[in-house]
Amino acid sequence: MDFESLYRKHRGALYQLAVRILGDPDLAADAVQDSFMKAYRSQESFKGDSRPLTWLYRITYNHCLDRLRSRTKGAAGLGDLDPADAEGTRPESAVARDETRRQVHAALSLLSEDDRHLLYLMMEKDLSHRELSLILRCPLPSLRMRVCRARQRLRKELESLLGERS
Amino acid sequence: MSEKCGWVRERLPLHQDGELEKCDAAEVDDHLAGCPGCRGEVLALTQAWTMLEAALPPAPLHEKLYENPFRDQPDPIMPFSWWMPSMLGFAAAGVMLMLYIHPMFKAPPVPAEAERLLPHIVLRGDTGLDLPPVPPSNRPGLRAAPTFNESESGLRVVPVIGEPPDARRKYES
Repeated sequence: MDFESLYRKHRGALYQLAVRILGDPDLAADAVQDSFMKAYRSQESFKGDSRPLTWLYRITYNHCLDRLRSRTKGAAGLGDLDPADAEGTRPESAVARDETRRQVHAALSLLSEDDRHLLYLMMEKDLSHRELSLILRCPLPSLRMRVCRARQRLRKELESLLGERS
Repeated sequence: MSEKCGWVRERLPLHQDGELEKCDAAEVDDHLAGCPGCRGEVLALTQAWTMLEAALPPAPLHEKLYENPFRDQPDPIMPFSWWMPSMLGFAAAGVMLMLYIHPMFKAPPVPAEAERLLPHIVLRGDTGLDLPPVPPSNRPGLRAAPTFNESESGLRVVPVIGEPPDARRKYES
């Protein structure tokens, strides 16, 4: 397995997931590199029954969960991360977007951690439900129920937050 | 909200992800065509997802990730696999076949002259061969030394004329 090309190809996607879960770019970059090293050292465990990306997602996801558990302070994953701030390219509609962001973060904080992580994984458009079930080690029917529940909860929480404001 | 609306709304997220079975998807589409309430539900779900994506856009790649983490890593040791013994077996069979068919590995033909003289000669030197017993010395026709071209055959030949005093002892022991 050519790990260097795998790394070049997938580091971005895995980094997005790690940033969303950990809420810290430095920690997320470390987590991605550590996950790749873990995968490199245990490449015999890859059976080839899924795409390498799915396998890498599973390793990264588990590694991020381990990091979250080992962190002592507060809730993680919903930090004040704003990628646009890091880029220094804030658009003109920044105020409106900040408002949306706050509402979404508030809604996400009302969800369970499992639902939140599932939504982060679902934001990776490349992953099918079957692959999500492999990453989360969850049977496909249960995963589909979790997908429906998480998306409907997000909608309800956002609706109630938007209702309160208006 | 009818019972059908409940059934459809449970499946709307899967329908939006394209993960519903074809027959279920067709049923949901049929229902949505005639139910404004469920169409509103679709819209609300879509809006929530759009807001989520807008609030969590892709982060720019961290500079650490441009480093190659595998640069100084030793190659991982490959574990034992089921195909390793079979590969060794195939390799051994290949070598055996090559030895069998290749003329380079065949023994050179014995010259006809050597074959004729073979019962009457003793190879001298450390050949490691299991030599035949020395023939009886009183056999007629062995009084004259046979001619044999040693340089051509590569063998050093000593014709036995009579029985060497120590030969019998040697082979008997």
